[in-house]
Amino acid sequence: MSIDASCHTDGGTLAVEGAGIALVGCPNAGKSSVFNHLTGLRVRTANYPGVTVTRTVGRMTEQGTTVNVIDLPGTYGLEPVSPDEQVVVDHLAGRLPGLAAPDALLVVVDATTLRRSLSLVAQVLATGVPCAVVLTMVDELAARGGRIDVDGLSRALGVPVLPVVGHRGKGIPALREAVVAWPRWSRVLVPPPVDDPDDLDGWVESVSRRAGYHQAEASALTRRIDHVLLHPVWGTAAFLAVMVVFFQTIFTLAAPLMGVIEGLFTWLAGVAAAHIGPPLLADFVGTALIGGVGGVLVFLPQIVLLFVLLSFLEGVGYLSRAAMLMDRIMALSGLDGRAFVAMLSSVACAIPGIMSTRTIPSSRDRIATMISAPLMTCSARLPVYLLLVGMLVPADVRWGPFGGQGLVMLALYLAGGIAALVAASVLKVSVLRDGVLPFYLELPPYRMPAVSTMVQAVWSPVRAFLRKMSTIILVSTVVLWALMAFPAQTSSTEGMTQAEATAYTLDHSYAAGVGRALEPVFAPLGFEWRINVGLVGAMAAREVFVSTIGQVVAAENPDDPQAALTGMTYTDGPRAGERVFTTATLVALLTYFVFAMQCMPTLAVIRRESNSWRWPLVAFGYMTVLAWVMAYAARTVTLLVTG
Amino acid sequence: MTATAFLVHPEATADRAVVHWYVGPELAAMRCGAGTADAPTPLKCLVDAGVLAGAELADDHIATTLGAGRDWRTESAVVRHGVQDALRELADAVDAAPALTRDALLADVARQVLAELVAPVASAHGGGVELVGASDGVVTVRMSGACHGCPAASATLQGRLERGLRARLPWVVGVQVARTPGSAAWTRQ
Repeated sequence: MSIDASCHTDGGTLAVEGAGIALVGCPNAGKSSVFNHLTGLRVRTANYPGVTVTRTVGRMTEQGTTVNVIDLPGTYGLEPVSPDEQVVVDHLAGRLPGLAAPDALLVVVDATTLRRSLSLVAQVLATGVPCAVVLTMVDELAARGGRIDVDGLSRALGVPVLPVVGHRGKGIPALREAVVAWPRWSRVLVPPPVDDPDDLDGWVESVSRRAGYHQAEASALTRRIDHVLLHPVWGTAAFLAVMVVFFQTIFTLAAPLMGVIEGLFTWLAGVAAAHIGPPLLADFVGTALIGGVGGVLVFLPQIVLLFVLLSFLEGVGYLSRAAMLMDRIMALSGLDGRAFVAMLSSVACAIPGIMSTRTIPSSRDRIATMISAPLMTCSARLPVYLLLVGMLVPADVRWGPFGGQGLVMLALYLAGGIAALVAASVLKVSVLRDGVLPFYLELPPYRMPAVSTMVQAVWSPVRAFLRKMSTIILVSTVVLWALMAFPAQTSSTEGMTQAEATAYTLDHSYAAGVGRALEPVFAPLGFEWRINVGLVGAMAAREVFVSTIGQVVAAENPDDPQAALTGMTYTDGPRAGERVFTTATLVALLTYFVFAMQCMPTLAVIRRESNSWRWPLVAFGYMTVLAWVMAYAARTVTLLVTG
Repeated sequence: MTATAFLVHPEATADRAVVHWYVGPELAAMRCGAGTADAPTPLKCLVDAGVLAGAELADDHIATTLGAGRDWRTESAVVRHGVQDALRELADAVDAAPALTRDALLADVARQVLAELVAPVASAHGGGVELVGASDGVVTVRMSGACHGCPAASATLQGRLERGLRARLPWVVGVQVARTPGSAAWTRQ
């Protein structure tokens, strides 16, 4: 073990100087809070090669020395029972290509669950890597009638022990000083008996005894709250209430903010149209650049709100209760309660939903959740549903007290949810079957979340969303725009009105070629080539369908293409003159949107989170086939019913 | 009856060759009960083999000095097993000792466990637990204050005391609570 730290790097992700100090700890031990206090917001997240396990790396400077702090995934032990724990073990042993083993380890231990954490400490001590223990939640231990002698624990373990109160930052300065002094940490002379479970139990008991450890009693407040919130009846009622507030906040509170962003981009597009001379360039800037980026940025308020609410619910301790309540329902799909959070988030947008699968401990469950979550009805489907349902069901149709349009919308949402659960369960009994993993669902005591942890929890996915998604959206909109605008028809469209020129250009564009080429595939569903162009457009983001189809029919007002669409007829071929949007076609199209994977950013996120192209391709493949089959079935049934 | 291991952990000292295997204050009582101050045979064997340069029983720990040219990382498992076997030998010696000696040891250890593990919990609830006596491997305690007559208290405190005792003296038979202070009627629970 080298004392000269300057030659060590973190490997591939951060080719910078400084020793690597890794944080190891059980889930919920307060690792993230300690990590944030050490590194602030100077962090970056990366996946381990080949697996969907994330590590976060940040830098910390103290007394002129800079070290890289690595936040490893939470683990209960160094004898791997899951692929995630395997990664931690391999990283610590330096077995991962391109990733140096950490120079020193900080074991983060929750003082309120000392005994369980001590077996992890024993395994870390046995590695022989320099190590120190960070003892969190000491305030809570004391508040709940427990006791611990920090010096006694340090003497018994033979390594430094540093108590901190994570959310108040107490003990952090001492910890920072201790971290940069890692080469001088006392080292373990006699490793703990990790090879013999009985001896290890004796060691754990003996060490806790030497530390004068008295367990905390379950907080009376937490017990009383759980009595209600985990109650089969009251708990479920409270859960439903929380969900209602959750969605109301996401959809209602975000709406005015989304309006502001939309207005801003409309204004920008207007400015661009007015000031850019060449029509092609103006169209490019207005439609592709501003329209494309704006179309995605408009969902930013929803995503920020979603993560604020999620990190608050998690920090307070409610999310694990919700997961526990939902565990039984999720178990029907072979997933556990934690997948529920991802499914919940996917109702706003599959991208944050997929990002939130990081909290699921088993990688197989994570993959199953990731590639079934896009079936949940996301907010990008909403504009499409609104348009098509409006055409399918007249506004004055009522069934009892309910409007027909609202009921169809509800059915579409339910169909998405059921499809997601069924898909997950099929995946879990087939390709993603795995052995029984120990399932720990900890119910932490209720506490006020630390603001710094919440800021971190919101900022990191939002930044990832902004950076990665806007580039993907940008590229795909530019490509789509080019497909629809080329080959340029400037000479042929001379003398036409704007709308006619657009229609003519589109009719002869590459996109039209694509739409016609796709006709054999979609003809059984009753889709005309112009619908196919809309479907191609929807690949960038589903709501693009609405504006693309608007351009396709060259409606005077692309924002309200409904009237023009209803009257749209086949232009050529054997069915020329027939209406395009018959009831059966509308039902098929709606069904197609329920199941189809049409969102490139979602695929990109699955690629990033699963760290391979395999799973986005699987998701794309099965969802497209499913969508086609279901749409065909829906069309056939509709034709039978309506004659 | 000694499937579980003794509660012990190693602690480094200023001298890197010397490691204290911390057992707790009951080691003094065990030593007394066994009627010996010498290092038990398993440790003597290690000294003869040269793994250890010396081993002695202190009041709450076993001090081991590493043999010349040896390394703790490679020898730790051997020494650890030696320490466990030594404690077993001591416990067996106590087992074989006259009943009176064993009861005195049991009372001693019960007093430690009460002070260490039971009293803080009992006093937090406004009560107390005191030792009445020990005979034939059975410890008798009396509940006072809020704990007296409380069924939850006898279950939790008795459980704590019994677990604490069993971890230190595997041959302990059980714990009983005196029904009324000073009464001759005992309940075996």
